[in-house]
Amino acid sequence: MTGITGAEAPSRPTPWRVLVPFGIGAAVSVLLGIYSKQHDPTGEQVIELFFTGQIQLKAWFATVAFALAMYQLFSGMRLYGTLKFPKTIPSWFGQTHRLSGTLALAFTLPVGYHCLWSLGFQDADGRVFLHSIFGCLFYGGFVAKVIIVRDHRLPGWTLPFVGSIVFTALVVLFLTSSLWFFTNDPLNRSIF
Amino acid sequence: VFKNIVNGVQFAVLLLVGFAVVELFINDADGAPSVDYATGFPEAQVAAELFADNCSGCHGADGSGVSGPSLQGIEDRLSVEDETAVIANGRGGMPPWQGRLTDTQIQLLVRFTREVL
Repeated sequence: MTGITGAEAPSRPTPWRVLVPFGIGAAVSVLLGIYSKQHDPTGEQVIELFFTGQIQLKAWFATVAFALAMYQLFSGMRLYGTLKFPKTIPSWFGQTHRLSGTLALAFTLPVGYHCLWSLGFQDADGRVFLHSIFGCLFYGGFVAKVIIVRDHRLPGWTLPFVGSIVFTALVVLFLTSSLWFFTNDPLNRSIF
Repeated sequence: VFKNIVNGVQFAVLLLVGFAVVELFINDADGAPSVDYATGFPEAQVAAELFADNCSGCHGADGSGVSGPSLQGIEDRLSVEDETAVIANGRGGMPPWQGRLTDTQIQLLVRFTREVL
């Protein structure tokens, strides 16, 4: 007996295990793509809250998600030591990273739901095609990230790698929807 | 305490995700399309299918607009020629449909939006 119990022994990275979260994430992305292609778009509004229309709500919710993703990037880099600010990491800092990611996902839910249920997968032009692709990628990446966060036997590069994928997907989604709407809406609709 | 709050928020969002996924499959459109085709012109049913397949995603099942503008009352805003040109050549975020739809199909859609919606 070495005196080290199983619970105390440091878990060694098992490279092949990365296939599990990435496989499940890829499956989620593909399933979303299939759903959005097969489901007849209803073309209906879902929720407007206090906005003048569905598209305004979606644009602002995606903007909030984007802002939270920026905080995710910042806090993630600080937790990994890439950034040195703030000098000392407060005890609650890691929790704000978790909270910002969770809230970012929450703000994308009504947006993604409307895209999938009401509009479906579209490829009429480059912008909407890119938006459709990265929308599916985002949720698959998010699922993979949730699995990777909880699995401590994965190589150290997997979490920042999948985090980068999710962040990049959200940035592309923001650029191809909210920013487009705020700056290029051909109909000059109210942004609120 | 903060950790418990974050855990609670995560649990609530997880429930929301589950709810959204279930809704994707069980939520039917509210009686869409809400258009009385019987009052339309003879080819209205064909035009309605064209509209449902190609236009409703952006303009809504009843033409009231979603990501694209409302088409209701389009006859007050655009002439037949202008509307035909917009459908054929696209405008703003709307792609051109010439090449994907025949001239006859575009004419049917123009008539449908003006007479039925």
